[in-house]
Amino acid sequence: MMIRTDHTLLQTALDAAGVSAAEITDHPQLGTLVVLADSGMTPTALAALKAAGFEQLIDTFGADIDGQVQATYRLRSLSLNVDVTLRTQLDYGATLRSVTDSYASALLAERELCEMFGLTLTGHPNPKRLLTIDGAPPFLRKEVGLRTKEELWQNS
Amino acid sequence: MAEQLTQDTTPDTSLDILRDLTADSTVEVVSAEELAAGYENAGWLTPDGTPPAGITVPRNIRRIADDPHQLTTDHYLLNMGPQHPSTHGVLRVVLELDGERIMSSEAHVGQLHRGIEKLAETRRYGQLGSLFDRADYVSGIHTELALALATEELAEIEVPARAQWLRVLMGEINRCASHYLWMGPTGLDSGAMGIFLFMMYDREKWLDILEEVTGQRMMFNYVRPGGVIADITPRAVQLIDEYLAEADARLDEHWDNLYESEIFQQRTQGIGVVTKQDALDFGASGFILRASGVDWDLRRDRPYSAYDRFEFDVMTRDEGDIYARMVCRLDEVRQSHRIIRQCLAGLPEGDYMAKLPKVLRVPAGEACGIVEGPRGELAVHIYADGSDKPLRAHIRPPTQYALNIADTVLPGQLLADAIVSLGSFDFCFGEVDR
Repeated sequence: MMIRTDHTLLQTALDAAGVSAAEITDHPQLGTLVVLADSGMTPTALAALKAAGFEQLIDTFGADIDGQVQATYRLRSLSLNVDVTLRTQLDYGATLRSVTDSYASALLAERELCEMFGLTLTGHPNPKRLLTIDGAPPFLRKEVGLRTKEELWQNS
Repeated sequence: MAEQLTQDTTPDTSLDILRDLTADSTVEVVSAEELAAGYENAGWLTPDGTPPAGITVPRNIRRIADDPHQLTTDHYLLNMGPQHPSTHGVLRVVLELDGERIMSSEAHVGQLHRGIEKLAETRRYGQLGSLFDRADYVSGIHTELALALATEELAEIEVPARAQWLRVLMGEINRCASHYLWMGPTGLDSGAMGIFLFMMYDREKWLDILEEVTGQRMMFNYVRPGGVIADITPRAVQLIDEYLAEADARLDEHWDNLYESEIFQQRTQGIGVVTKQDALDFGASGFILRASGVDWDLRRDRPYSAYDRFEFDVMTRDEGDIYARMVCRLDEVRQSHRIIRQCLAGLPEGDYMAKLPKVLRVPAGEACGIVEGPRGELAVHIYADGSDKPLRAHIRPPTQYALNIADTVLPGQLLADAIVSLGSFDFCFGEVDR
């Protein structure tokens, strides 16, 4: 069970940074959840949250939900012992803006997210594939199916 | 005949044979030269597929400048790994060197990528454990536990008290075994051969106990949603008691043999320093964070299973160097012994598995199970859609974040220190690549 965060603290920080259309809710399992309508505002929102005391970006990952890529960032304040999850939606092939300026921990995770879901990456110091070779499909998209060794042999 | 012979003696290159074989498929065969020519533009995630302007080789965010007061040479690139033994797995590091000094470094991973997260989408919840064991193959219990916590939270399963305690007990035993597999080889990296053998003795003792309870020495598949798969046996209790009688004395012996050694201290003190700020910025967790002076342990600060019932101390150091990480982990083993003793003394009676249907269907939703693994924060994030298989399962690998730090710690060090420095982050490439 995630520990919830004070909504007014988050709202004030996001408002001061000019991040509009951010919806703050309490998720029963994930704790406090911030959903950004505009994925381009992610770096600004994360910079604002870092200034508000969230020292660490713990986790960065994506998921293919209903034909869109859902990028999730899990932040933590060690001093307050609270977590907040920030989430945004991107279309297939959209461009993800890197958050490495505020949180360097996303350096490898963002590369993995983009290659696994077929996104492009801007603002990253080394926007290169991480795990797979060039030409490999975005594996974690639902449209990319699993094939057995026999199926591969039959097709070739 | 002669004509045929001459025809046969013009050999096809292996490349031609491959091209013939794959003529009907969409697979394109390229030679090593062609691949090398295209490599600089390959694999870029930028919108136009070309590298961004103004980046250097290796492409890293931290790079040290030439010292005008020192003799400098032409820089050259050294490829270390993926088969290099001291990378503790399949890590390839490209180092830019000025003589013996590392100017910048770039880590390449992916050699062990098996698509565990994709495979998880085709497995039932009961089958996920054996798959996730292969992620962090040194500390399987903790990945299983994180998965079980996430699943139980979604499916609202009540776990029996005995199972909670057994999870703690087996988790701590696995933590000790994992720590020994790191402390011994770190001694080896810094030139101490004997300590590796001494520490393997302790690891073997713990593995024997794990084998007795779970039936396996490494890929346990022991912690399942709803509890654990087997109860502790009287022989296992006897084995733990026998080993615990000498365990703390053996830690003192390791301290005298390795930590007190002046050679080891010179190889590790003040080297590979991770500052507190870097540890926070680069997402470090676990022993790296604690060795850099951050007092944070998920077992104490976000208690899961039965950890709120146990007394133990969170060991921290301020130096942030390799020696601090080594001391931190040795102290953690001592604390684990404390927890194991409390576990055996107070193990509650009762069931070790909740009553569950054969095929577990998890209601739609999302949950995240977070545990303190031996390498740091290990989390499993599950998206469920109401069926018997997850929609998406994500593992948060602690050492992927440690790899970020390694790239920033190496520049400025000597090449000989790179080996022990890299080793000191305890990478497990099963979980970095997944």
